[in-house]
Amino acid sequence: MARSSTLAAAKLHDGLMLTRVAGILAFGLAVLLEALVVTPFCSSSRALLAPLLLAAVVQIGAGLNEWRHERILESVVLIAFGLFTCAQISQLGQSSATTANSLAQGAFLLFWGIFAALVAAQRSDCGRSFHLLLAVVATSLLLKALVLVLAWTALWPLLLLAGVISFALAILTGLRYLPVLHS
Amino acid sequence: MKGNLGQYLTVLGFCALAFYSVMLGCGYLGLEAMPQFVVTAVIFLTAGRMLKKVRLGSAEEEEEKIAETLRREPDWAWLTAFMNWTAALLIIALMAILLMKPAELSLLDAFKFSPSQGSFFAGAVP
Repeated sequence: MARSSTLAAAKLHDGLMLTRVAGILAFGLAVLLEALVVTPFCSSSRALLAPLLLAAVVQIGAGLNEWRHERILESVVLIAFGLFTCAQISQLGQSSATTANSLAQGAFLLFWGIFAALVAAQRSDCGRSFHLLLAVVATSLLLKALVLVLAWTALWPLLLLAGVISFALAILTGLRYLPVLHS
Repeated sequence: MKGNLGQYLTVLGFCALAFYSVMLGCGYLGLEAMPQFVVTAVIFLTAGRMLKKVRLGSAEEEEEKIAETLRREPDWAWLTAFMNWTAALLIIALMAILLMKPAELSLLDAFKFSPSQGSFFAGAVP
């Protein structure tokens, strides 16, 4: 009886870890895709809508699972950035005439950059790589705000670099949980 | 920083709302940007509220930890070493000052006629 309950607890723990890894990977992927939108390589941003939507759904799902297990900080981060990705998708879907002006967009990204920086400075048991990932995301968002407000389009290599680093850090954070899954 | 995240997020949410209100009031921003800012503000305010609740819930545990820390015996060996090193550094600093100042000047005069005092110019202040 005790053994079966321990196994059930371990399965529950594995399920939480699996969704967390998926959520963090989706988070990194969304940052990379949002950085790609600004680069000259991306001819049509509409091609990125489907992967971005998938990433947003995975993030929100992982956040809700974290919420069920009373991991509030991780839950807040994943759900909030999932909704942020949804907002970015709605912006990409709109035509340029209906989008808000660059100052409003810059302010929007600035607020989210501050949010990411505040959460990155918070201590949690997610590990340093996750906090480093949030710090890189904050930098990426602030850079993107600068690109929008000041029209510094020459900054796109930095944005792309931040996106690639975010994705690499997301993979690293995911790998951190893999031994837990295998044990 | 650890316990204040909820408050910071609440302030950030109010800032987002205030920014949008000012921009809307000034006519710089249309209604099409409203969902973005309202959703952002709602997310920040909700997150702040949730984190505040979590903080209240864990306050008792933190108090217990603090009480346990206070109950511990002080580490006298570490404190003695700390006092010794502090005293040694103070003595070395005092000796360095005494060695560096000119022999004919007193300590007070040395401070009074230091180059930083001489280079201060207050002539422009009426």
